[in-house]
Amino acid sequence: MDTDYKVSQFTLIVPGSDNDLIAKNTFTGTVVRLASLHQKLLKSLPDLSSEEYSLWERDKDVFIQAGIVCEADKDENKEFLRWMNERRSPGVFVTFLVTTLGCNLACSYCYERDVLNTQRMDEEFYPFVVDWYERKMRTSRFKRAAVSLYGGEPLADQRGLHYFMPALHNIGETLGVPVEFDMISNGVLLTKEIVEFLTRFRFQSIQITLDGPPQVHNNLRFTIGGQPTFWKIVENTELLFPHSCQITLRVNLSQNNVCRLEELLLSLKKRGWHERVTPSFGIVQDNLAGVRKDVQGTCSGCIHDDSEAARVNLEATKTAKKLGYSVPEQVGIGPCMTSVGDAFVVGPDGSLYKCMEVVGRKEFVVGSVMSGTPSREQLQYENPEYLEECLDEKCAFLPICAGGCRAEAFRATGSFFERHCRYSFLEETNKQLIQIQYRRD
Amino acid sequence: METLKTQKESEAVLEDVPRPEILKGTTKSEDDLLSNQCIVTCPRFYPPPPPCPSKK
Repeated sequence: MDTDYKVSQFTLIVPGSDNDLIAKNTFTGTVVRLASLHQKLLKSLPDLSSEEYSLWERDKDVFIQAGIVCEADKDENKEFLRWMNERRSPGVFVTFLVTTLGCNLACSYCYERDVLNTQRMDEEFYPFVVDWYERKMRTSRFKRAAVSLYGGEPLADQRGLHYFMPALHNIGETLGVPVEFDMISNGVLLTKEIVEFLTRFRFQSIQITLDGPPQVHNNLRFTIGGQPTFWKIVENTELLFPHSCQITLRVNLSQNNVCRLEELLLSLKKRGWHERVTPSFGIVQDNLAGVRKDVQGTCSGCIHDDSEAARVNLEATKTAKKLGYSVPEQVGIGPCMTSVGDAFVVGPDGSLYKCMEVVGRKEFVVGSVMSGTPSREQLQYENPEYLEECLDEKCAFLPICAGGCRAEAFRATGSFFERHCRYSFLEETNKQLIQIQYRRD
Repeated sequence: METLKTQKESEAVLEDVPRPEILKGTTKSEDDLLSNQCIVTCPRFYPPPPPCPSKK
């Protein structure tokens, strides 16, 4: 018996527990628990046996509502591209503000290692940057602005911090565009006074990093003078606990520290971190700066293989979940700010970039707060031809990958405009993450 | 008579099949696009938020 429906090209179906299965649509984000007969039925669509048809008639509304199935003639690529187009003007003015490429740490795997310097944004330059923000916010219809304070180490330039946060906040208040701040910091320079300052504004979130228990972390993330940082970061981060901002604990994993993750998370759980902090796992891989080879135990632990990256990520997620931490249910690679029109990284000299991984690298400058913002048409990122292969393949991971990370594409191909496919990593990781999150134990 | 029996049998089979259950609703609304930092910045640095606990 014929139906007018097919399984969405973005639907993943993974085994659950007992006889059930879990279906997730990577485009809508919807997750549905199914019976094994439902899977059989979905495989048979659009032509069903009479028994399958009875089940279809009973349950089709849920499948349709969840987007697990769609009309047989629906062009889902077209719908995806329409969404990508909406993303180009999402109503948010997205910027990463980098007032310094200076940093107090000398982490072994830093991707900015070769561009870090002590230069800070010149104070005389501050008003030009503020003018640029004001012009952008005045001439576009943003519903909000999101400013990520980034570096180098953003707290290494407190002069800039104390100027820009109130200045940008006030512009937003005047124009009726709420300006929200977040920060990616190593946490070492955070103090009670700075926490009080940050939380006077719409300070939404902070990400700090601990790469293992003290001995492991201090071997990877130490000050320029070689001093340990673990306990300083722990104590400083806890200053934020009484406040409402989200706190993300970044753990950069290599083959050398993943086995010590449980020890780290357990010790932090004893301090209540599992109720206040969300872990986020990064994988130490090659980067534009290259990994330091003079730090023992780092370069050898660098993960080059996607299968190993997936294994490490999943092992870490399971450990965190077991200890009662919130864990993400998917790992995405894209789409990112490169394909959002009004999204820029503002460097200390006012240069504009489209990716945070390339800040400070002259060859990737796309404009300047002084000489002008590139138009949407000027940004090749907005018409990504590299998506065509992914669309032809009707890849199920397209909505959470969008052709891959642009910086990774550059490292692999020498071009920001080539596809960078990591299908096996996405499949292996995301299918198991669905199970970790939704399987009944 | 045969047909009726078959129909009753398949109804019995249907009763044994649990109904599909939506564990998490859509995240593709305009509000999500506006509020989800990972969608508009960099999903490698801003992981997606964990699922709503009430929907687990």
